[in-house]
Amino acid sequence: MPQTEIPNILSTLTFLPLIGAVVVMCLPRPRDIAAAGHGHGHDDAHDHGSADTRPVFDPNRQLVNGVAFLFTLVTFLLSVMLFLKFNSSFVDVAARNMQFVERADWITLGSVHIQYHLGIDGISLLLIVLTTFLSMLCVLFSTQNKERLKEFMVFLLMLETGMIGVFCALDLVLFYVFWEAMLIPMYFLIGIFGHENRVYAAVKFFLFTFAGSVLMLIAIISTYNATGSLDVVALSNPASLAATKLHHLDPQALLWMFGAFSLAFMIKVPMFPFHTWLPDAHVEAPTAGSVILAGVMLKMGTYGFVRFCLPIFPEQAQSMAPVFITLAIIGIVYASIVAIVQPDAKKLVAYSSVAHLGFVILGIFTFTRVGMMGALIQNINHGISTPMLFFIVGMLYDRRHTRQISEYGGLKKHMPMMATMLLIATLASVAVPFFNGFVGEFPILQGTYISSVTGIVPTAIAATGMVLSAVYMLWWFQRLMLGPVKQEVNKHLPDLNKTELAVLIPLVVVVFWFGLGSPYWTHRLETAVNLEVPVEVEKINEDLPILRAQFLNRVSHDRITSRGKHNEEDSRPMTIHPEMEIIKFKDIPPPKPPTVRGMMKAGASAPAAGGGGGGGARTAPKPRQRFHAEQPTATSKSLNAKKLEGSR
Amino acid sequence: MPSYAWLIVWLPLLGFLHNAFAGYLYKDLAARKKAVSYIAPGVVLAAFVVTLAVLKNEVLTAADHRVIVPLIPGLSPETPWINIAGFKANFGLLLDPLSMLMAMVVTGIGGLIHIYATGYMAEDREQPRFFTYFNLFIFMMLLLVLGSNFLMMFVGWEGVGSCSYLLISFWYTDENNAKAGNKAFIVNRVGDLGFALGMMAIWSVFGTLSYFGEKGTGVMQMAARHVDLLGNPLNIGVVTLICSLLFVGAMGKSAQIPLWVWLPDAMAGPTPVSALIHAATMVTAGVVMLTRCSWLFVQAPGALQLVGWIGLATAFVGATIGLVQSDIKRVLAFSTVSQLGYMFLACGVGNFTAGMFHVLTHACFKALLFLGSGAVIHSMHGEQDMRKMGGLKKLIPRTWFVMFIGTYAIAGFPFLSGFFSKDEILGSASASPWGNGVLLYGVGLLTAFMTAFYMNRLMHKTFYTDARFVDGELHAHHHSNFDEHEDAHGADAHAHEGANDHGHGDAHGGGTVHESPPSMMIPLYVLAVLSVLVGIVLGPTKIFEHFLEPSVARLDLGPLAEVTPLVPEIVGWVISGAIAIGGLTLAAMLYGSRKQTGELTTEASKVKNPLYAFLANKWCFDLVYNKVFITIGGKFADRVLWKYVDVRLIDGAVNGVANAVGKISGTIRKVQTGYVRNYALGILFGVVALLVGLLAQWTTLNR
Repeated sequence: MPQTEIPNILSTLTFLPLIGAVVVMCLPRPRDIAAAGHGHGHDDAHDHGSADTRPVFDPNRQLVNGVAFLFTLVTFLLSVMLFLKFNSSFVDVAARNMQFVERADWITLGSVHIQYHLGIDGISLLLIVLTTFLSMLCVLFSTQNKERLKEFMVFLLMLETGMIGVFCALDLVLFYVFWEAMLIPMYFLIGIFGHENRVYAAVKFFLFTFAGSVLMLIAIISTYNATGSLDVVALSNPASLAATKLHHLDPQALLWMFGAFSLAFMIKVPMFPFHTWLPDAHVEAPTAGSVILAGVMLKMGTYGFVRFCLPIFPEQAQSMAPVFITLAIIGIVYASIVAIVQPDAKKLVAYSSVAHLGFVILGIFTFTRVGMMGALIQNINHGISTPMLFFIVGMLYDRRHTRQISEYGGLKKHMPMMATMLLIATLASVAVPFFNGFVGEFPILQGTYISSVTGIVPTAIAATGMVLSAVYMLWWFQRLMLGPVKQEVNKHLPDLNKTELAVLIPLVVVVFWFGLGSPYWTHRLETAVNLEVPVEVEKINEDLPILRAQFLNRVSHDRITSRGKHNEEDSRPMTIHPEMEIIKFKDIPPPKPPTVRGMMKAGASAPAAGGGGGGGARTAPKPRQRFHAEQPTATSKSLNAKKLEGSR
Repeated sequence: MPSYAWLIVWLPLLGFLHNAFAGYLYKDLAARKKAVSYIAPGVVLAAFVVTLAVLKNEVLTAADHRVIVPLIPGLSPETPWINIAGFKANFGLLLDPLSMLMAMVVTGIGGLIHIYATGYMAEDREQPRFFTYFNLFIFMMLLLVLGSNFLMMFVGWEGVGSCSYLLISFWYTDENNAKAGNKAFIVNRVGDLGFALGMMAIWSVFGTLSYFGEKGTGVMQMAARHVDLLGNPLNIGVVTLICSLLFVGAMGKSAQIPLWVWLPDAMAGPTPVSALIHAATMVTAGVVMLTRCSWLFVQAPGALQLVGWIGLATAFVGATIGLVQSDIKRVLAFSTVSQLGYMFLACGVGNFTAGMFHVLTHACFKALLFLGSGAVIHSMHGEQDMRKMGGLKKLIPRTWFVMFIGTYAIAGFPFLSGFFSKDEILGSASASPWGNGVLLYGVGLLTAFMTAFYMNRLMHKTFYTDARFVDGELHAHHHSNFDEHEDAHGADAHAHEGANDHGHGDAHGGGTVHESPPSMMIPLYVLAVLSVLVGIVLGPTKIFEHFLEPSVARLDLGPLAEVTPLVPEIVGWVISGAIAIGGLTLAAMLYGSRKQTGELTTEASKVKNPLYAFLANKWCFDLVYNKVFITIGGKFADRVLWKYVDVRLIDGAVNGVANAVGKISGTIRKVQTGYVRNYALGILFGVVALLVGLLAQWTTLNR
């Protein structure tokens, strides 16, 4: 087992930035650099640009920058190590459990046992790497900050600890603690280092998120009251005692609990109509704050859905899926249209985030593996391309101290390098193939298409987001970079400096790495997603016409479990990962006797539905049964019958 | 021996990388430009040679003339690009007659246009950037035609769209160019939406996106057997849906009604771009896609009829607008729209081979015409308005000669290449299996007549009538992002500018009309030869038909649905030839008699004539789109969605709650006066209330 090699790697990863924050706090305070000209008064003076100005060599400044960067760099390298050591095998049963688990009693109050319980699966793995990666770039970018550098770095490092903690925590209370802890540094980042209207934005951000958190806390407490457990793994496993207890509750109560969790995450994502805090927060936040906000914090909302809402309340999630899908689709179209008319460069990117995150939610609630995978990839991709956009807007802001798009225009002529970078970020955001955005967006729409909840019309509406994103992004690019240079001051802006290039180039590399070599990343997600999408959901299509049927997913299972059953000239493509076929022979545990839930579902779906439905087990050591023994011939037959009926 | 077909795709990619990073490789601008001007056309021509070799050694020797090879050398063609929960797309290349034909067109004609562009762009300071995009375009286009699955085609599809966007707005300092680029990308994206939905439908039915797979597991193989993934018979409704959605994609890329509006504006790009992307290759991608999916389309008569009708309408509308244009490139743009309509007409009646044949011949003569017009514009120092030309035959006879051949070829003058491909299309239209042969044939002939007319009109206005400019006093219409005025050279700036205008290095006096340099003329001669020969060599001899046969499905509606053509083939030839000659002659008569003005009507009567205004307004497509999507849509987005719904409604509600809380607290705060007497009073009230409460409880308990 890999985790034996590095003890407590997750704890190290989580708290290293916090140690860094303490260290930086103890360093001597660097002098502030007088801010370069605001507005037009100093335009002629800063020919060689504010970003380049390093008037006096200040050792304290170098020290703070160096130490902060060192800590984020080491954290990033640790997370890369984690990534490499992660067991993503399709064959190994251990790969289906949480990995690198750390577990200890933390607080015991009477009967309440709050545990220090960390662990990751493929979903959190990628998010952790994204977090450390972006934090590192943010610190690198912020080395150019002029005022209160030390405090800024301290907050950034504290933030990183909170974010990593959120993605590792497997105890509800621990999760809540990290979730809230992360709000505080962000609040200060916006409130102290933001722009003109920063206090309003900071308070708004805090209150919105906090309102959601309170609801989540109530839901956590009621979950505990019902089950006596705060263990996410146990609660997600339908065969466990805790989950059984939970699902004996009144359905109405469960729906309320699901709703409370969801609302917290919906605000965080943010989904329409809870999105209005985001444009304000983004616009007012300093560049690094916007990057972290868009790149990581929004992902916590979607992560929350995948980690808590779906596994703990699967039935509620499925029954409410139409609501979420509707809101997601409205969000995509609405936010895209609103983005088109924004006069503020940052606000435009903020609305584009709302639209992109709408895609993620859409993918998750299709309850198809394709859609879910697409959503999780889109989650990461958005964390690459949008930070890139924010970094570039920040670089423009550093030069001109305005975010109004109309102040720019024709920049490409004098800043070709920045124009190229922005073009790459734009095309990535527009989801042109071979850029990263496409690899997420297309599978989401494919999942929407085959989902039993949706179909072609909702897919088509959601897919207009593809067109609208081209409208707002390209028009934005045009107004910033193309056309004649309208303002004299823009003729003298310096192109990217070395620090800025060092921030952007790694992002470009990842954009194309994701765009061209996605299997490298996605196969680490696959096992987790297979466990995530309940098999029984994929059976709903039994009653649907073939066009909307998700039978493909099921056919894949057929193939896994019944190799060799097809006759020779049969033309079915073998699209399954070669490793997966081995599962049949080696690892499939015998079907479990159906649990209460399993029976409920087995009753609800047709007899052709294979095996024990969701009755599989995922108790801590054992994997939830995923690839169960199916009757492929029966499945095909019933489908045949349905289809013939449909065609007549 | 492992296949080396990957070289076809990789060579332009390497060229792209070289040009993109030329700034780091060569410090000196002149050295950089020189290197780029060799590398860029070199890689494309090398790819052409490799294509020929692959065709001979790999495709023609393979069973079924079809072979799937890896895109990435050394890896399997099954190496996945995307592999998510059964949704898989491979890095594979499909080599078959169709893809090899298109690869030859793209690299062959593309190579010629690259050579031409080295002359055309020689003076532009950003020449390396131009060739960066140009080579990238070739790479993407090759991916489009050679990819072994729909998703690879989609990569190329959007890739060429992006390159088209970059190249249209190449001279980005002019805002109109940037807008034209945006328009092209966005309108294309609408089509791409259809293509994407079509792919999703395909995956949901066939479970794969590969055209061909082992043991008949490809989409086309299943379609040919009329079965879906599970072996059930295909549902015609679903296939019709798939094909219609795919056709929406084709509409966008191939500028068909109603998504054609971007193509005329795309002429804002440098002329080689118009020739390569917006005439010879990219815009025909829709036809290629339909032919590639012919196995699906032949099962969806409804979709085929849609294709036919849209094609016919586009051919007709494009030709009518072409009649009234005065910009030389715009005439050719509308002619392209119209000819693309012809190709779809052919596909719509089930004759995909005829459509592809027209793709081939059209690529030759339209590239010739565009490059020729580029040479004219170049000679005229950037002037594109035919009203300010005339009499150029004497001044630039060689350019005139190649343009003359191009005009007669596209008009369908007997035994030139356009004649054969157009006649083939008209013949199959008259034998339309949908019973509308008379209409298709009639409108097709009318369109052919108009084509001949407006092309000869172009020739007359440009070359034959009296010159409407003063030679030696031409003003340069500067096309460059770097304005020479910025580093003004004093009094001789004007003459200097003339010589520095995009194009040529040979010294001459400013402002005179002159023939183009050899780097531009040689490709024109080659294309002229092709425009003459391709039709007669490949058409009547049936070489083309036999070559393409393995790649194309035949529409088979059973013996009952057999329709005989309206007229026998020989008569059809005579009619086609007569129509072409008629159109050419009419234009010659009308414009030949107005030598001085070169105009049929005066400007005043043009304005009065509603039909003319309607045609000049391009059938009001742009007006309506602008009104609906930009004016009304923009206002709706700005005033209703953003400023009302978002700011007032949603955010207003949130802030309203916050304000209400604030107000309530503000009111309650007044209780906290700070005076001890008030608090004492409060305590007193509290004590009294408590006592009353306790008393009440005590009484109830003791009752």
